[in-house]
Amino acid sequence: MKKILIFFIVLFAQVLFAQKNKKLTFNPKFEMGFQTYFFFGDNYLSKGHTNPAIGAELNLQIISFNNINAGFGVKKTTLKVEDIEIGGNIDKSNLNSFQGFISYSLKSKKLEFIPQFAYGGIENRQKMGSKLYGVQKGNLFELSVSLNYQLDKNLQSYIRIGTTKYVFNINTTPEFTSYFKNSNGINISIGIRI
Amino acid sequence: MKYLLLFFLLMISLSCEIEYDGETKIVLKGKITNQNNESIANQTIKLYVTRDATYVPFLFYYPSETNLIGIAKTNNLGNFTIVIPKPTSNYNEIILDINEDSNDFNSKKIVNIKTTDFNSYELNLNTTKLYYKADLCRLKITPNNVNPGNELLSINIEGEVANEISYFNLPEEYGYYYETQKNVLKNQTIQLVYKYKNYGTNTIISNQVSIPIDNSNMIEYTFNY
Repeated sequence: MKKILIFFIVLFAQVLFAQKNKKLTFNPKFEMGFQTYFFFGDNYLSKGHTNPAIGAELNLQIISFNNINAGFGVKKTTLKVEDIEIGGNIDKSNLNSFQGFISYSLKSKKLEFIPQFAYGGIENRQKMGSKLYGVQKGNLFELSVSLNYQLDKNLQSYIRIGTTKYVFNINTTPEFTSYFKNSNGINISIGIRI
Repeated sequence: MKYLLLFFLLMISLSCEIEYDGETKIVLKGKITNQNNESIANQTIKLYVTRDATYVPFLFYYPSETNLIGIAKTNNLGNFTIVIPKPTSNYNEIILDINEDSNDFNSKKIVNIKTTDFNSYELNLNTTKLYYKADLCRLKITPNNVNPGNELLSINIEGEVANEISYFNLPEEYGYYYETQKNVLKNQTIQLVYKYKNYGTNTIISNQVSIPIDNSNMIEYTFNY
């Protein structure tokens, strides 16, 4: 987590010092919404679970500099395990992530177009009922674009589509290393922004 | 009083349930055939991780735990692969249940497997043979002590033996009495090897006898030592 924070502080500082005569502003925006994940590729999240998966997300934009924004967010998604031979007789995988993001706002009247890059940590908590069958941690990289619509002065609706690359920590045989280490997903989110 | 309270807090905070490492996946492979070396397809294999009950008399009790953590079916070649998160603490053994006693084959379990038996995260059990129950004979062996100066050390039965329970690692309390009742294939000759110690001469003596198994459902055999 510390590494992720340092990464974003350094990245944002680079942007700040690259542009003179602009003002850093405290510009809080809160987002909450639902998301759908489609995992793909030859990996455990894709082939070992029911797809798509449904989850929720909360994001908080904190500061803006010119049209560049930064903040952080959390996501939670639950997947039903299908392949119990490869992975264990486990009922569900809970994916919890915490990521920082940098975005760029392009506004035109009531519409706002926001490309975004996010980097963060993820953990896969595997459970059968209340019994925990281990936690697998890793990192994620996400590229996404949002289309926001101004509903009123302080309220926007948004739809976001993105692609995410996951890299998990894994110790296993060479035959299964890539299967449990890497994953890819396409995610679609809808929600509101205040 | 303070120490007693501390003791109880320690007991409450102790986690006794089986814990797993989600970042380490161990792989168990094997092949199932019948007595004619023909592959058995679509056979359900179950893998359990178990823990015995923990207790301190009058103070603390934590019940036993059994996790059915792996399930697989054999393919057309009789091969199976099970991948599970590695149990890390508070477990006693891994048990592979190859066949329950509900079909034409003998029941079969491989017990007392430890995570240390996995080499580079993999354990290959190679071929396990299941026998048709109708082709099995119950062999009961009775050791008869005729010389009080002798102590029976071990019994080993060699031949087509349907071990319902196979110990991957022998348990601490393992003794010759674990081998005195076996299901063996009919119409064969079994080799019985037994060792005993003579305290008079302080020597270990090994004997081997052949036991013919006919078409009977049960055979009793007694040997003197």
